[in-house]
Amino acid sequence: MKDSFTQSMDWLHTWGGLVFGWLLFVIFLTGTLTVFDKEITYWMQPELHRLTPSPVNIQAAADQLARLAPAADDWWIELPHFRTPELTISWQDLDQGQQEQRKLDPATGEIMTVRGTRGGEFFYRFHYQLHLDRLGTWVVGAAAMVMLAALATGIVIHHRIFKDFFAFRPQASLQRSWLDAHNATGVLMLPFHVVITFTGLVIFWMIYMPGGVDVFYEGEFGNMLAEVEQRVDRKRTGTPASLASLAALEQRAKIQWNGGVTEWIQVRHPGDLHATVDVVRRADDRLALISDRVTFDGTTGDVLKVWKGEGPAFLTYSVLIGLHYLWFDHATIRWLYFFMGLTGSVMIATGSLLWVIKRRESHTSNHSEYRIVESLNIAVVAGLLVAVAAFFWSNRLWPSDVPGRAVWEMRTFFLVWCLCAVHACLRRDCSKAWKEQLVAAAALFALLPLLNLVTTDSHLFVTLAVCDWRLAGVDLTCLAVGGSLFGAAWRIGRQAVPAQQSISSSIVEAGP
Amino acid sequence: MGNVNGRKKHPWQDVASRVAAAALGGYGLTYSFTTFLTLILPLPRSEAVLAAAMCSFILYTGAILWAFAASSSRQAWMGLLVPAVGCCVVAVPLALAVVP
Repeated sequence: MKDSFTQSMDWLHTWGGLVFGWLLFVIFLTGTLTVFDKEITYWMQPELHRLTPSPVNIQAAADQLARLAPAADDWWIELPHFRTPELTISWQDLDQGQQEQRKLDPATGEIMTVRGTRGGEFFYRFHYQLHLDRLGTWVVGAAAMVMLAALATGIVIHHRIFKDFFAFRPQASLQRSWLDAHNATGVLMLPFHVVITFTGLVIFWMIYMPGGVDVFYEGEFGNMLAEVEQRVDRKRTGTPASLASLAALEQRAKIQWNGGVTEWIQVRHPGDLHATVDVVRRADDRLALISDRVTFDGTTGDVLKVWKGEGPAFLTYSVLIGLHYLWFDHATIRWLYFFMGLTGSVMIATGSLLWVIKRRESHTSNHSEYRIVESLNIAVVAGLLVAVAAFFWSNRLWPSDVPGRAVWEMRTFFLVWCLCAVHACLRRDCSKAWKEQLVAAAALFALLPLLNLVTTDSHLFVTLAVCDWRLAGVDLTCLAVGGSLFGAAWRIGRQAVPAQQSISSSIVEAGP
Repeated sequence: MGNVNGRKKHPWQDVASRVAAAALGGYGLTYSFTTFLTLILPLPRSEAVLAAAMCSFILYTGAILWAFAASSSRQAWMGLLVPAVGCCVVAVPLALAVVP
């Protein structure tokens, strides 16, 4: 029975891993990029690079809002911080139309003209929605469940876990060394892979497992949210009244928190008698992702509510999602997550590669049987890398004044990815296809700092001189990635030869 | 699944049935158990909803493994549907009693 169980789990691991591996690689890689989403967004907006840390002028922001959106129903002021140095104001009109946004210099409140870009947020949204809105969220959820099953079955079949981990044999047969790579990257970061996948599902529990909401809240998650968050919801009266000083309210909120920084301020019905001001605390100094909130009467300045998250299940939930979102501000941990995410991406990619190599080495038949899989491997793994690099290139190359510029950057990403997919399908020699795409990705990444030098003033010579590690970090990481990919391409070039030999030698053995 | 020379034979009907059991049957079991758990947990309702939902994904993973570990696809389905129906049967009167 035990053997049979292990065999079933092996089957499930192999086929579940294969069918969902491409999706999971995309989710993991874009998730890894999301670890540094704010740094990427900052790098992609060179117009903001002249900002230096300065005290925030909330009054200036409020004045801009009063000037630009006096009749709006909702105002937001997002305060700057280390990872996002600009101040952002946004508003939404009474008829629930489009939300508008402006970026301000935090010291003067002057509106800054910044090139349109989605920045790192593009990878963040792609990571959990695959650019497909709610349907995409479901697909990602399904993939995450298969990932959990793949991790569990992986543990079952590799129960010689520690022995496997310490055996990495890069010079052994191709299949053996890829298997070792797959096992090593899986086992080394197993706690991370399990936690990141589980917590990812927990974030969207209300979409994936809404049973409790259906029973207790008439199927409306909004009802539960209102109960938990205890937002003060006051209707507009229509009587005009002057808004209290937002800067003063923000100061008073900070006193309630005993330390901590404000993340954003929301004003509902500004200029009305029932104006309500929410001052929300930044959740970057604790693991639990809870944004404490103080709600004020916008006219009189009275405190209407002080909300801190509570309840053991809610706190557990907040820690779990905090572990995934990583708003916790700690540079070393952030880099660790980046490294672990890359390891997870390598684990998934080596799994898909292993599937092909195992079959290629074991029999000579049907190139077409695994040709589709190999093409998909190249298109997804190498192609995505090329597309990511192309996205960064498009940010520097698309002119700033093109309307819908942010959309054009995304289109460049998808177009390049499609071209890579076509190349992967049409190229007859798979190892050449791998090599060509990896070299393309390597070149695009490695040359990005050079492109930066030519197109902006935020290149390495400047950023290293002033020790701006957020910006220099992006350029340096691209150089490192480019170097690694060149190394991978070279390695694949070397390894193609033994594989061909083994196929031709088995043809000779099979003989007439 | 039948054993031939130590390697498993997997007729596509068996695979399809188990995949459906894992995906749909597993979801059905997880959904009904989560609802049942939400109803019986002695916590304030938002807490109970959250606690049960967080546990649900572990159960679903187990259900997926079961669907492929069971000795036949019939057993896979039974092992998921019977507890699912059981949870529903218990949960419905509970829901009517507890929810105003």
